[in-house]
Amino acid sequence: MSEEVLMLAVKNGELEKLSILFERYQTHLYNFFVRLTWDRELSADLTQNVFLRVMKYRSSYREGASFKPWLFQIARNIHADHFRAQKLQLESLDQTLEPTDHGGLMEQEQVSEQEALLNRAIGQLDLQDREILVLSKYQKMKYEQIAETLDITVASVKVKVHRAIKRLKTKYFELEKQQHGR
Amino acid sequence: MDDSRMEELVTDYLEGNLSGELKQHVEKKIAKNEEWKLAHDRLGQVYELMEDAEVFLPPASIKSRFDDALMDEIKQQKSSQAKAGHVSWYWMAASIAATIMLTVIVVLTVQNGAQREELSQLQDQIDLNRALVLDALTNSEQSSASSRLVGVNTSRQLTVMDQELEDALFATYLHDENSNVRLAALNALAQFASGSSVRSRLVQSLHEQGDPIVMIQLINVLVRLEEQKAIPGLKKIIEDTDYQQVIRQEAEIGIAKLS
Repeated sequence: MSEEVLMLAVKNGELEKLSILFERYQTHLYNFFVRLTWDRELSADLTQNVFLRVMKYRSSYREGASFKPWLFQIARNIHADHFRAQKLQLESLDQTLEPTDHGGLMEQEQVSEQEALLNRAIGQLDLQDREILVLSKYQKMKYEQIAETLDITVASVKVKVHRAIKRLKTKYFELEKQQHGR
Repeated sequence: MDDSRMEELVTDYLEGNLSGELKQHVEKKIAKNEEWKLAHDRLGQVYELMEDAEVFLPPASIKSRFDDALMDEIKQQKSSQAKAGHVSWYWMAASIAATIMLTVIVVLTVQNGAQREELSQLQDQIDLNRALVLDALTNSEQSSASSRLVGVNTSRQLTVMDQELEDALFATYLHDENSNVRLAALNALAQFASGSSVRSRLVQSLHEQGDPIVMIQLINVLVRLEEQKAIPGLKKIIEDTDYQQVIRQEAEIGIAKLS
């Protein structure tokens, strides 16, 4: 059964079907939050909050709408709400915000040296770049889905992805150079 | 070709955005030109790392907390449905009583005394309907969405809107958790919009209504009412990028029709 059909059933009162959507998306959402925050505990809370919000505002789901972009819109709002509440400044094109690496997630033992470097490089990007890379490369969303999630055009998505990739590449090879220069 | 254009094409190639002759051209460049090959390999390394990145497993506690919350919500829903059953019977009983009253009125043919009685019974019916509408709208926590919808739609049968009813309908239109009920309340308010109070409150609600579907309907209602005072509010919506594009477009169409 498609996610859209499942969500319509939830909207129409078949709440138990939300558990199927939960099973399908909890890992995706958890990884989305971990890659933005590098905080496992916080990411678990934010993931839970997404589904609570889906439950509470199930009536706002429109028939015909794609489920995944709608879900990730809620996830983005929850992420933004959390940090607004914490009075942290997230969105600034001129600022970079390196998320605090709680629990050493960025450089776990089982992760290769290159992946650890990449995680650090992503952590040094600003939120807009991080978010677009997580949605595009880690969540593997198509440009059209990202456009719907962010409420921008597909052309804007393409431009943002290009810029983010370029900045990521620059940071990654800078860090690699620093690492090997030691 | 400058470096930035080369990088753009290599990125597009790795993104899978190229096709046909352009794709073949880039592939040839990568195969034969050292600079292109280096750009491709370096960027490719970053793509590969993201492609093969570790997937973090969520803790089991998320599932157990979610299951608890879902069970609570299902229990609450069942409890609301049981109450709604009673409300539905209440509505049925009320409409049967109203029908019987109307039948009695039609059968009565004696002049003066009968006419006075007729008016009195009609007034009773109007008062009853008004009371039922207010009850459904103001006790929203205990009534189901379908009951509130019946309440809103019944309000459209009333011929006069008083302040209490107007306030109840506005509260429903702005805050009801069900978007169908909010839409119905908006349409009911539009019916009573000959009064300036309802019109000006509708214009003010352009910046209070959070539901995109209801926003679009509100803009359509204001256009239908030819309410020019909505134009400044619509202009603010167009300039505010926090609003979804579809709403900003609807606002533009609204201004064009009102101007």
